Amino acid sequence: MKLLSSMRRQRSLSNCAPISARELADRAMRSAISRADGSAEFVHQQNFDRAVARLVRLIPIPAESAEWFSEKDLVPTSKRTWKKMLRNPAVLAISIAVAVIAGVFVFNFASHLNDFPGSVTARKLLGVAASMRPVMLDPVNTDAGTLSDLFFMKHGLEHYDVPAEFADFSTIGCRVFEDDESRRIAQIWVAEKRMQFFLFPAERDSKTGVVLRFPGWRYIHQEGWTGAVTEHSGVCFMAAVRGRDKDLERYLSKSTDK
Amino acid sequence: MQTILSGKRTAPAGLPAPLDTRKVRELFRGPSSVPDRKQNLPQLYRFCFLMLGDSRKAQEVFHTTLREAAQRAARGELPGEPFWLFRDARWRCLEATKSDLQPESLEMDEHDVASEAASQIQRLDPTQLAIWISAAPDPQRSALALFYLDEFDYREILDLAELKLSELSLFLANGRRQLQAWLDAKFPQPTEV
Repeated sequence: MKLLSSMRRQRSLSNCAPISARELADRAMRSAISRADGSAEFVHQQNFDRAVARLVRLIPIPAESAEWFSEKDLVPTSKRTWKKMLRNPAVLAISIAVAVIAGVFVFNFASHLNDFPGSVTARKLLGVAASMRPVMLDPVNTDAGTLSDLFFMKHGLEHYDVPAEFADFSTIGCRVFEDDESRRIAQIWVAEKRMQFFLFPAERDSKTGVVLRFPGWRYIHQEGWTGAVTEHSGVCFMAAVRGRDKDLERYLSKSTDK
Repeated sequence: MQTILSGKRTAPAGLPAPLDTRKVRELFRGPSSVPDRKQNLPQLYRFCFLMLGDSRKAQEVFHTTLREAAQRAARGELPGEPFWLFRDARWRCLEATKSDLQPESLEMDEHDVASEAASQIQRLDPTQLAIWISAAPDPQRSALALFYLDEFDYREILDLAELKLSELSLFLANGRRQLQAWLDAKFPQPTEV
């Protein structure tokens, strides 16, 4: 019974034998063909099928329909336009990533464009100024310029002088503290615009120990605070105020006019 | 979508508006711009012609199938299954002939396939063959059209025509014998003395 069924299936398969001599992936069909191969009936069937298939391939394609699949147009690849490329999600993602990286790089470059020796410390001190309260300082009511003697006499800090531009300002308080690198820093709070002054050691060359000098006043910004920094005798002075450059400019231009 | 459907050329009377050839070619081009065997458009037209036996009707079904496919592609709804264009075209062919006169289920003459069948077939015109196949009742018509396209293996034909192996085998064997009888009637062989 099983044999009969198998033979019937073989017969069915040989009736459906492929016309072209293409590689057969189907094992059952390969087996059916190998059994039928050589018999006159199967040879006639194959010749018959090939002849019909040849005739089918001669069916003309009307011009209106042939336009849709002309071979010369099928093979060349479609041109890659810029628009298409830009719409590609991968290209889009890479472009955005590159733009962000470039933006960060430009921002960093721009923010460090006006860097000077001691700018890192000055920036940290602007952060200190932002978080400071007057009660945290020793109350002192005098002119800022006179405090250099106090710093020298009480703390042994030489050349911690307030520049002439800010020497006349009335103070509210002052203190001397050490930063995270054990550098001694003097801080003065003045009544004028709730301004704060910082005096700290200027940056030195790590090999030679020579003070790295810079001329005039340099501006620095951090979290809405602005500092004007100058260096004199190896000590940097910074006037810090919540605001912009112009809030400090008028004090500095006054001194220039004088 | 407008660009796909609006062709620059004018369609012949009775035919659907032409599609944008470039768009359609892009749609049915296989991966890496290699034409996909499964969506072979010339074979699709020949299939329509074998199913309908009439060039105008075949073109109409062919164009409608492609237009529908283009619209589905524009909506991102192209089926993932292979040969869907052929399956779609088959149903359209069956739909197109539903209102036509249907062939009666008569006992047709059947002859064994002869050794000289190939030479008889060579004398045929492709249109005559298409008319003969299109006159067969479905699903034999679909089986013969799909088989003689020489595009699909038997498993693919079983899937497309929704047949069992025994049915396909019977339709093909009967088809050969019936076509042989028709060939013998059309081109009688000189009787041997």
